[in-house]
Amino acid sequence: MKFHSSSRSPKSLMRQFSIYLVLMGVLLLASFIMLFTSAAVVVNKVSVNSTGLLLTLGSFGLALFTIALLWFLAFRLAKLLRVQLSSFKTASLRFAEGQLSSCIEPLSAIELNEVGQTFNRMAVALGEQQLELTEQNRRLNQANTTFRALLDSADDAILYVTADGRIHDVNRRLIAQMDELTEQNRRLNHANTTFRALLDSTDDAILYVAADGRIRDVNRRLIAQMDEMEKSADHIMEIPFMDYVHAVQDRMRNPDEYVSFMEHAIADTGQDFSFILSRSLPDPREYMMYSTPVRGAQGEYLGRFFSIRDVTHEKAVDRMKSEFVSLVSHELRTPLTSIKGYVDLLLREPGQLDVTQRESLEIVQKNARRLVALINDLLDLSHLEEGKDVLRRTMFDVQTIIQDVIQMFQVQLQSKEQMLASDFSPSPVLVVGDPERVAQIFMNLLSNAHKYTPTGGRIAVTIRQDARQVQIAVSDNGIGMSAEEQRKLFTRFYRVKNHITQEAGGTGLGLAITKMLVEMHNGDIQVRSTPGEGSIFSFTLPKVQEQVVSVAAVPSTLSGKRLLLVEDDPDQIALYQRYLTEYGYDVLVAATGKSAIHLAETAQPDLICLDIVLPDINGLQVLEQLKSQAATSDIPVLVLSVTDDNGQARLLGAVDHARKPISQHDLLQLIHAILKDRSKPLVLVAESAAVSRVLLVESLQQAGFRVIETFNADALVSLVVHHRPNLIVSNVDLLYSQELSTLSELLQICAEIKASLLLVGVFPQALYEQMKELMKAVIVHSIANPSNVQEIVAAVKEMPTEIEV
Amino acid sequence: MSQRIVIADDEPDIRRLIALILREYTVLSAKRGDEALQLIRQEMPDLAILDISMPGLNGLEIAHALLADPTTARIPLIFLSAYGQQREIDAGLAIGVALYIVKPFDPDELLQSVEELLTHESQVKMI
Repeated sequence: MKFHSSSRSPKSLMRQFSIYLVLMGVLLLASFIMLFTSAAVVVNKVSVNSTGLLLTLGSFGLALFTIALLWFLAFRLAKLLRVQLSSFKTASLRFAEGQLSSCIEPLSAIELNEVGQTFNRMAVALGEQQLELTEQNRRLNQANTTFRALLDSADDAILYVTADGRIHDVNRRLIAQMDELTEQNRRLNHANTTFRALLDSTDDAILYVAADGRIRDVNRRLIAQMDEMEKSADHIMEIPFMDYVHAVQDRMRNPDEYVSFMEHAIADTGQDFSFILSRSLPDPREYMMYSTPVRGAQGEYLGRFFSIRDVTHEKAVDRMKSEFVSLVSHELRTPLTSIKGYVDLLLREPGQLDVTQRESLEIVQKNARRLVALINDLLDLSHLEEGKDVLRRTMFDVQTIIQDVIQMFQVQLQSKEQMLASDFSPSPVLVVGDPERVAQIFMNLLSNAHKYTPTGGRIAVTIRQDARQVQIAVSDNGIGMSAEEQRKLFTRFYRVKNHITQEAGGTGLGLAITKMLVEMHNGDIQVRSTPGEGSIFSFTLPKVQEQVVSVAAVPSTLSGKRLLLVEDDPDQIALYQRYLTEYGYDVLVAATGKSAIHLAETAQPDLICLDIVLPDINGLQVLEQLKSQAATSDIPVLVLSVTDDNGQARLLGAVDHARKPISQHDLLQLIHAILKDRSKPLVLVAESAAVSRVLLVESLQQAGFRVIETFNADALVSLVVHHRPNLIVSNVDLLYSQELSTLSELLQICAEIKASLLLVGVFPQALYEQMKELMKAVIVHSIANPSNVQEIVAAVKEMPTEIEV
Repeated sequence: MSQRIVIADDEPDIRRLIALILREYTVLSAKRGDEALQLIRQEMPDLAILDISMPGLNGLEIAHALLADPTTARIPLIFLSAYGQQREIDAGLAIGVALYIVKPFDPDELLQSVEELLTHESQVKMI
């Protein structure tokens, strides 16, 4: 903004008023002089003459004039200042209104003009600053808009809190999150209300225990239960769960069992439990308690739910049902015993009956049998339904079972001149389950095929398997079934009309039971059939997974191996004989020590299971004798005894020792391992340091060696004599601690049995000198560092380990 | 002198049936549980066949008493019962009897079992 150019150059106020001021000064001076002069005249002459009067009047006139002039001057000055100041006022007012462009016209008074110009310069500067500010403001606004947009576009919720702790700014996401949270909160509240209502509406008492072991939640039913037990439910929340358990334990029938179970459950973070609780006070009731762990989204343990259901009534009904079934079957069986028994007796007497009588009695006999079968099936079904019949779970070869059933069924097949073809796998097909039940399943299908296939018909049994399951199929070329009949097949008391015999055999429960049994084995049963052409019934059983197989299954190469069982107790003989023969071992039995030694020599078994307590000589003596004679020294001996033997048996050459009673699984696993390992070279590890020994034994076993170990120098010679290892790995220190005679004995034996010797550690030169001659006959290697397991194993692998088979 | 067998059953028809099947042996019979226990203790038979459900004492109680007493513990016992459920059979066998036969039974099976039990000493075949 430019200053307006002035038409009139401004003058100083002093200059503008100088003439008036000078004139006023002169007049004032003149009036003073006249006043003084007149005063002097008055004083000096004492009389008032005309000169004096004139002088006085003149001075008064002058003074009056001066005053008039002064008034005029003041008037002019005031007018001038008013005019000039009004320009300031106008400009200031406009300025105040924000018109920074307003300026003051050039003024006549130089002083005011300067002020005006300063004002105008200030206005210009302010105007420029305003412009700048406007621009800055605009930029700030823009920046603010961008920043807002940026804030709002962010996925993070942003919150700005000022130093005084007040929230100053939030972004849209935060607002959205707040909204979301509010909504979530609403939903949570709703869910919580629903959950609460649900908890309280159930008849089960529910208790939730948090990970800290304190009760975090209970439902109304639990509180009611506490009341029933005359226990206060006050303050039950947040108390340790075990405090609750202890508070109610005196109401339980078995308080100790109850407490120990609860302790066990609460300490567990992974398993589901179910448990029957019996309350004795105030009235006897039975509860089914389920407990399940609760895990968070990340799988972290949060706590455990306990739900306690009153099953008193169900249990009573169950008991009544089972008592009823038991009673009814008993009451039916008693008269049937007489009917069937006397008919059987009559039919046993040859030549006493004529043909018609015999035929009639045979019909009675057949129907009595059917009734017995029906009772058996009903009982079976009732058991399966109650879930009482827990399946045995053992591993077995399903083919063996099927072959046995077929063998048993030969007579019936021959009676109808039916041909049975079978297609089996060359190796055992292992499944886990109840062999008797699997036999029952197969028997049922086979007898159905037999029943519904005409004389001279064909029946085929096939076994197919994949990695997961085994499928056993029974097919026939019998009468077959319509689709309608197939649908109803597995329902109870349904029988397919036999067009051949015009009669329906069986109880009508067989297939219903069969289906249940297959399903209990986690299998599946199916039927395919065409009327007039035949039927195929097939069922599947899940196969045993590989790692389980390696534990207990006996590979086909091992079945047929001959085992000698040395045992005097008839019950135990029967038991172990069954255990072993079931898996295809050929079992010989010796009941005395003497017969055991004799049989070992003559029959040359692959393994001997030896009992310690025998009627004639002690089992350990038998072991010693077996190991001392060439004919039997190589036969592995597994010692079985009721007591621990502290390594005594191993010292005398037993491969292993096991405590009786031993399960079939464990026994087979041991025998299997021993027989399988027979072909591996045997290494004897003699090391007194436990850690080194364990490491070395493990590494050698992994490297495919059979290993026996000792930390005891005294046992060394005995072990070598009785076990005849292929190689001995011995710590030098262990040998050095021995009498020289023992060491030389060891070397002699090594030479005899052609065992190599690996010495670990530094062998003293002096000792070496003494043993030099003996060492020549033995392959001796040495390794200086006893802690280098890898090097020792590598050396063992290098050394000759011939096996005499 | 033929071997002696005690049979205990409250059903006369069944007592007669068993006696007919085992006619080659000397059969002594009791119709009540308490009578049976007394008879066995008095006669010391070579074998006893016990029904389970009987008045007086039931078969399980008789067997228990006999097996707990060293003088009678060696007498082989057979349960012959119309209780045929597996858990009933298991409960019977758990007492320590030699055999559990479910009614109705096969006469030949009973006869054969009796013969086997009476020659028990040679039952375990040793090589």
